Amino acid sequence: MRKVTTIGVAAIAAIVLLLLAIGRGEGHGAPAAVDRKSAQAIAIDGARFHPDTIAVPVNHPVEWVNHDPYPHNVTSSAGSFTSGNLTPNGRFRFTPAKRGTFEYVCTLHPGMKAVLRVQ
Amino acid sequence: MRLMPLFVLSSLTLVAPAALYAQQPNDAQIAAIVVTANQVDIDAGKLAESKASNAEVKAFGRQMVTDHSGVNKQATELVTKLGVKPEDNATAQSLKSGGAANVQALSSLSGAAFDKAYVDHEVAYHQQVLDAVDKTLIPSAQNAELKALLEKVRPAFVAHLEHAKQVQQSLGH
Repeated sequence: MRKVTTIGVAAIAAIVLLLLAIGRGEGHGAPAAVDRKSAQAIAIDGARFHPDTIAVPVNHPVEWVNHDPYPHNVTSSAGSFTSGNLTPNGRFRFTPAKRGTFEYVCTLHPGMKAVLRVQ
Repeated sequence: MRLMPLFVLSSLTLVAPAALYAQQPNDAQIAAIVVTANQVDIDAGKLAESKASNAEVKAFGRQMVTDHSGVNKQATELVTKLGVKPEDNATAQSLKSGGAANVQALSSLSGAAFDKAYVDHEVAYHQQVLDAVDKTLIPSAQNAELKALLEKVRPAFVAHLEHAKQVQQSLGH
């Protein structure tokens, strides 16, 4: 009987802990999910970067997603970062470690230009 | 369907889809026009990929093959989903014959002459397809998803036109 009670308490405690974790939403125990959700999103769509100018705090991740049915890339004009070619639905994440203004382009489509400001 | 006369640009055949339609095409005809317009540029791009002497022209040709293949894949998936069977029509046929004439004309050229003719045609072709997209295809599309697809791929034609003009300029035109 005592054993059954112990198991019951443990089960309830586990459920409570689980509910508390869910209640906190993203967070503890799922760093990748947290990182993904908090990343500043930039859509590549219609051969344009949306938005084409953005400001983020230093060390804040930025993620580009290619929504076009053909490849694009994200290439810093100064060579600070490059995604390589992103296939349709491909993603590229970059976490800037330095403050500054970074102009970037898609080298496949020279008209695609944008600016990342890191503050 | 009553058609307006085709016109010819320089020595290479170029068809302006918008100019061909006196009446509005239906969705099935639009689907055929879109797929054909992309295929025409894929065929020319493949030729440029193998035959161009200038590295920038070669790369541009390769990109046309990749981008227009991607657009065609998306267009084909959409019309399949919508149950629209592309309907051959005079504009699609003219695009096809114009594209074949272009490839034939380009095949007889080589070196700088090929590069110039290919890029010149790409500038004119993308401009005319853009005109067709804006003046005929988007306004005529009845299905909302087909219209949305046309609006989504339009910027690709703009980007290609800008790119082609840059290459044209770098060739010294």
